[in-house]
Amino acid sequence: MYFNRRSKKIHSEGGPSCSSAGYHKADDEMSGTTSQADPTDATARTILLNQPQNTKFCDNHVSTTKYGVLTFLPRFLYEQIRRAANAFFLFIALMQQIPDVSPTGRYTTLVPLIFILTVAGIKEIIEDYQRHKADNTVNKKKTTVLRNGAWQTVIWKQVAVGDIVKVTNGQHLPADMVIVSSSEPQAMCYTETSNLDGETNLKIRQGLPLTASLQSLEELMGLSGRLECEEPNRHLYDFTGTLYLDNQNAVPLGPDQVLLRGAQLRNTQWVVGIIVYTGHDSKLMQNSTKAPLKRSNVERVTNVQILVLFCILLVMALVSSIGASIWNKQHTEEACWYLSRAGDISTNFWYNLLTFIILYNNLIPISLLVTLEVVKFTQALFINWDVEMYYAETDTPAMARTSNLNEELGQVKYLFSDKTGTLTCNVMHFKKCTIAGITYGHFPDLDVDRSIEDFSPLPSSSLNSTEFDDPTLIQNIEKNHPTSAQICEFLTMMAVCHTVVPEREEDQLIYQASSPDEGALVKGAKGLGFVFTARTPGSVIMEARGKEKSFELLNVLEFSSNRKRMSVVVRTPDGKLRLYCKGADNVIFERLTDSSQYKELTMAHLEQFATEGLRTLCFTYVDLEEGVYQEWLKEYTRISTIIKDRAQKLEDCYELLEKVRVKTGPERCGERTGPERCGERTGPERYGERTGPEDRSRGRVRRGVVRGRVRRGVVRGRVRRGVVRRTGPERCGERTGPERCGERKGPERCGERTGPERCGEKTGPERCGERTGPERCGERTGPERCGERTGPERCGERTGPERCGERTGPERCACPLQATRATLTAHCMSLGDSLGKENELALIIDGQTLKYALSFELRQAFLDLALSCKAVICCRVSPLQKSEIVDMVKKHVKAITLAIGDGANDVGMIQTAHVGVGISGNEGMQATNSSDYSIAQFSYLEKLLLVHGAWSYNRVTKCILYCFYKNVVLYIIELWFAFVNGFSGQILFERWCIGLYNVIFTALPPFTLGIFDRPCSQQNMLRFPQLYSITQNAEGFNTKVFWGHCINALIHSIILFWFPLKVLEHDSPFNNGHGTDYLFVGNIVYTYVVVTVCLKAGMETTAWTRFSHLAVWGSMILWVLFFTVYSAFWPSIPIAPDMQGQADRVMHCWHFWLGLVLVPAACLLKDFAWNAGRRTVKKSLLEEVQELEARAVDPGAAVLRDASGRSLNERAHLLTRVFRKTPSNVGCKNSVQQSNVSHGYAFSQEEHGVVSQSQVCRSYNTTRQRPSV
Amino acid sequence: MGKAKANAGPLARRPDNSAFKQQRLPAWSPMLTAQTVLPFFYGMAIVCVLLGVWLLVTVQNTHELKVDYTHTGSCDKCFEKRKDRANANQSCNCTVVFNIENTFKGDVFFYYGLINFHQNLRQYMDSRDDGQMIGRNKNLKNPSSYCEPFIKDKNGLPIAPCGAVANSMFNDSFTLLYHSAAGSRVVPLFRKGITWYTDKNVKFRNPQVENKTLTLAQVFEGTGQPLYWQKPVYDLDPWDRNNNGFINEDLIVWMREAAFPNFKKLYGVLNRAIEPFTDGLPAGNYSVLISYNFPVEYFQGRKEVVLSTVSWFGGQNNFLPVAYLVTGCLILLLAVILTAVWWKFGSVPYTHLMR
Repeated sequence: MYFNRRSKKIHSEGGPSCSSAGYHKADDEMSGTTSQADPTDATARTILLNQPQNTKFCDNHVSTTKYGVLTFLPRFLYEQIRRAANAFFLFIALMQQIPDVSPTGRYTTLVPLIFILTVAGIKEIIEDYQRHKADNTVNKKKTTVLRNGAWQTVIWKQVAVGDIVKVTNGQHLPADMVIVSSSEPQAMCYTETSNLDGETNLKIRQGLPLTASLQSLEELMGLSGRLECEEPNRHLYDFTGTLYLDNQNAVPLGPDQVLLRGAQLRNTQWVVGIIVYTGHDSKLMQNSTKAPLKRSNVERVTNVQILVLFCILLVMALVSSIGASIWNKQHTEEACWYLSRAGDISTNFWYNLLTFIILYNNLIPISLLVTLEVVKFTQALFINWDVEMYYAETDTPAMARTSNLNEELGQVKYLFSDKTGTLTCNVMHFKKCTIAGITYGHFPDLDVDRSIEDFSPLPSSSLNSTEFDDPTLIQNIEKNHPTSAQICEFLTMMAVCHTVVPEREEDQLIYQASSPDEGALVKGAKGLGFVFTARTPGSVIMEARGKEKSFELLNVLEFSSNRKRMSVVVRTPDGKLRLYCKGADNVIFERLTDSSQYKELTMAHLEQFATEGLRTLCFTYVDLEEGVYQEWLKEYTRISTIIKDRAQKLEDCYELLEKVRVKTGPERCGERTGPERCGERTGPERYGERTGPEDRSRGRVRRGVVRGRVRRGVVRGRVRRGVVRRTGPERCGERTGPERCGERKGPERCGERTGPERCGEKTGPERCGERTGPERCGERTGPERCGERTGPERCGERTGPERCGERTGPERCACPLQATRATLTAHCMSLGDSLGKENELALIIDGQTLKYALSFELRQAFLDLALSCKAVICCRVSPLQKSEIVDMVKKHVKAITLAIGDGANDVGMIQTAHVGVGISGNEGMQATNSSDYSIAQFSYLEKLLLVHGAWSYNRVTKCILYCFYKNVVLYIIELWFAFVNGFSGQILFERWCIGLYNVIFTALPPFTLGIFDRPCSQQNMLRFPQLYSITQNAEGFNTKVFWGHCINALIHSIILFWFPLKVLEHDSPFNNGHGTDYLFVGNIVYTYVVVTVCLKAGMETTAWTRFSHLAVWGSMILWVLFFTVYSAFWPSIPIAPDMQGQADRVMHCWHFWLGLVLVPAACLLKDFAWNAGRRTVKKSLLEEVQELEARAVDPGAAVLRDASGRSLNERAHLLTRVFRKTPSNVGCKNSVQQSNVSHGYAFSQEEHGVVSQSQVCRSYNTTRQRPSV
Repeated sequence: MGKAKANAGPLARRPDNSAFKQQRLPAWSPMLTAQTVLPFFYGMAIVCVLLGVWLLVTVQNTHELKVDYTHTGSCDKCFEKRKDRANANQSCNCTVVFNIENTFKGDVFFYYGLINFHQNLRQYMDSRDDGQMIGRNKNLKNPSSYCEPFIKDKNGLPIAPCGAVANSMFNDSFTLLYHSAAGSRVVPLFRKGITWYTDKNVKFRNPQVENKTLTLAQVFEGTGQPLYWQKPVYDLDPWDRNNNGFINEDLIVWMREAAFPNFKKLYGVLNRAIEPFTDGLPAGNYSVLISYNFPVEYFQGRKEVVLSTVSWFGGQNNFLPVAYLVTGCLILLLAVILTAVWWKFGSVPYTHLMR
């Protein structure tokens, strides 16, 4: 009891410091977006309890839609007109209204523009409707509110400020509220806030003791008084308020009493709270900033090209106007008696200029924007529809949250990945352990596993294999093996030393662990017959092989990332005082007595586990002597009441006991401590392969993508965030280090992976890695360390394994900045000429050092160095640093960057990078919501990039180029015609034919190009990652290609105009001698244009699906049909009198038919011949693959054959390498023996939380039924 | 996306595994390699060359004779006369003599040609009212503003037909004479049937007044004639009452505005019912009697008379056959080059894949 009270007191006094810690965290996490007003200047809001509010607050209706029914038109038009192209066409449409200026009538631009805006509008409406529907679902969720003296079920929308709401287990909170009471002791409750900050561990919140007892309906209704709190703001970890209950003293409210909208109630039967912020006032909504609008590189280039075309247009208009002036000068009014120039504006230069701008305006493709929108929208649908990117286990398909970056996916050069949870799933399983020098758990399938996983297309879900599976352990206990006692002790420890809370649900024990590691251990113990069954405030109850044992829980020495260990002091059933401790190996080893047995052996086993990629931690225990313990207890009691630096002092105090312990029972230590290490499977991060299936697939990718790439050396350096650029396979060895650091934990871990290091991991060598910078990080944190370890040595750069040695010794330096500079310079120097080129190097740097490296003066040097490495791994960096690195690369390197992550801490970099990909995994929605694409598994990134990205890029660029081409072809003809018509601005074609050119007659081919084209099959895109380099290097779309198309279009337009001109200039194309007119020529030319342009689309098409046929032939037929019908309009429909009878005459003209064969052939055969010739002489990789595909030969087989099996061997090669790299790696060996190596102890547990870990342990009594309302 | 699936359940959001959605639609991938395009190239080349030769032969069998009469022979005086606008109302006739060496076999067409006359100027082309031409009474009295400034005459009467195009109608007339041993005789020309069927029957109609049969003159009462015309629209063809008003064929032909500044328009078709023209125009001496009205000297234009026979695909024009021949040869050349290239490089191994 004593402890109980004590700890509570600690807690309440510790409040402020907690929240300030929390605030820093918030700062970090929202670094990109937070710079808003201080909470101090916020005025208070007053909420009256159980009575109508005086002020009107925002209601709980949430809307994320862009438009309302009324606002749609104005907002939509505004959005559209803001785009330069649309504004331009609007301008043209307006200019056409000036009488006598427009050569094409008044409405020929307006109508297509309206049509196009309508299409865009429909798309917007569809999208907005979906948002609306999603909002509606949220707004219509049900919750329980105290109204009119009874609990009523209302929909979220109707929840108002001041309402008393009851939320039950598993429900999401409808609005921000202050806890009144809950089903748990002391009004505690657990929430999962992954929607808010991406953290999946359960957070504990607690109501005020004052209200904790108000549980019944009557008590709640009797609540009266008021609640004051600050105005809504976006600080998730900040809240100040005061509760004034009638007849009571005012009580302060802090963030610990607040539950936020979006969070989910867990592990708590119900909680009752008072709503304080609703709807858009809630912290969740305040934090939902609009993602920055990203524009793709292609779009930027396109805009530039549109600008260039606009300039060309101006030049053409200018030339034509000057031509008109000259012509007018030569043809005076007198000369042109047949004209009526009096008062005519045609002699005015400026009017002429306007006329010509209108005439040539469609040089800029009016339909391009909307075509692209529809195309990209469809591409996004294809991404959403991809069944291979659908994750059945969570029923999550991939989702393109924006469609305008599709093509960017095809150009990614640098990949920044978050490691934890992204590369790894953060799913933990107990895999292996070593007890008293004997290892348990499965090893043998190591290689088998690996190779299977390497090549099997989909990981088989062998969940079982992820569990600890070694009967020898049990056998050893049962058969009284010499170490049987230790084994039991070990398992007991696993079941006792933790903060897990068990829940019974229909005979099922469910463990609620706020840290996955602890959960894994307790579950592991349960699997071995040591079942943790119940917790009471003073004890832990477990069943050891059927026998119930109760351990009296005396103290919990809490975990913190500084301490890297957690201990409990218990009184065992047989009355002994014992301290159980678990923690990082280095921390534990330091505290073992020298006489400990198994130390070396355990160390070696640990090495081995770590090599496999397991996350490891060590258990140890010591029996305490009563006296020592009492003495310590006194000290502890004293310290836990002091105000200043309590947290630190408490830690010191804990240390005291833990140290003591080691000192005290030497015998104990000897036997017991060191040895039992339990390799715990962290599967995922460690070897992705090894753990759950998901991982596997993740693992696979890395390897796949990367490897292929790597191997061929085509794609270089992709990954960074840890920034990694890709290395060659040989690299593997060295590379491993990195992931090590990745493991190292927590959010700040961004060890990133890219392919190569992947390889690395696999190899075992992580040893090297450790040695270098990264693991350092770990150590650094311990307070003792602080002094020594400043930044500089951190940036261990690893050049080859041999280097490892050197690197380890920290160069200590007083000034970290200078030290960093010195290190950077030294490395740059050592690279010499190869600086700036890609070397087989990896750079590892930690957050601390990064701070200096990113400083203005060092930035360039750091960047140079980083870019010279294939991989860069940054560990322990803050979210802000993550986005800074991305930003730096983005700014200084002209390359597309992609950031992928799954947690709230990745939001910054996801939004900063050109393309942000979120993993919709366990860590909540924050990353997903701010991403451009969300996928369920890291491995899907491969398909997203290699297939969808490359295809989208290819399609979009083809579509764009084609749109430019077809417009240039048609409209340059007007220029040629101007030369024969005295620059009068006359058009050769009928005005509506021109107007509908982009909208109807050539509208379909760009769509089929943009949607259905595919240069080669998905399988081959995945199989030959080198194909990605085509799009990556923008080989399909650059200035050269663009001008190539324009010049080609120019040539085509010349042929298309001058051929018919020469053919028809004698004016008697019929066998009845009849004459023709200008439109006759125009229609023939126009028909040739449509045919040529459609065939050109066909030529560009690499895969003729039925839609391509429809588009190519359909467009031509459409024109012919239109032509026929349109020629009969006049006079029944009063338009186009000139067209009357044209179709009939054109079709009866043999010249037309003869030309129809000749003209398109003359245009296109040149292109044909060129392509065929180039292809014969020199095939690109793509063409080679295409050819083999067409011949139905498996290109992979061809490669194998051609490369005489080398690629197969390569795999084997890699594997051997993996195994060769054992822990006893040359350069690294020494340092292994320095026992300060850490093997990746990870505890993702909430530190400094509202409710301390000991309090959690104490406040539960799972043996009794919880109250319910 | 967003579509509610019928099968709710654990895999409710699983995308359809259809060929369309998974982008596995069957597709034909054309391979533009030398092997595949070569046959096509050779085929195309042969077709083009053969067509070209055939067309060339056909064209060679047609005849065309152009006689420039701008200021040739006796027309010189008329040319001078038309330089002065004051003489616009004085008639002027002249004769141009020419010789046909080979008989023009088959149908012979009589064209007048204008050089450097821009019928394709925007201001000019727009200056017409098709509504008026189709006989709408409203437009007859109230021509479209596009006709500006040829809407009203000096007396304020609406002009019919209005606009610059009609105003500048070509008003020379021709009589072709054949001088044989038997003496001179007029070559008979059909002055009708020279327009597109749709023009004559759909696009151009004379105004009608309901329930009344009025003469054309009465119909056009209250309108003025175009400024440069010597005769009102209802009196254009004094010999054929039915060829007057808006459906006058010369007017219709003129109203089809030419695409290029040099053009010719059909004037008449040889009437082959009459001897000795049953086979066409016999070789011999001819002269054209011209009523010379149309002034071209202002714009440095020229006028000509063109006599032409046609083949199945129209009048004499060497461009098309030559274009076919040239294109055919070029394609052949390309094909040969491609073949050479293919011989040399055709068996290049898959260097990229092997790498």
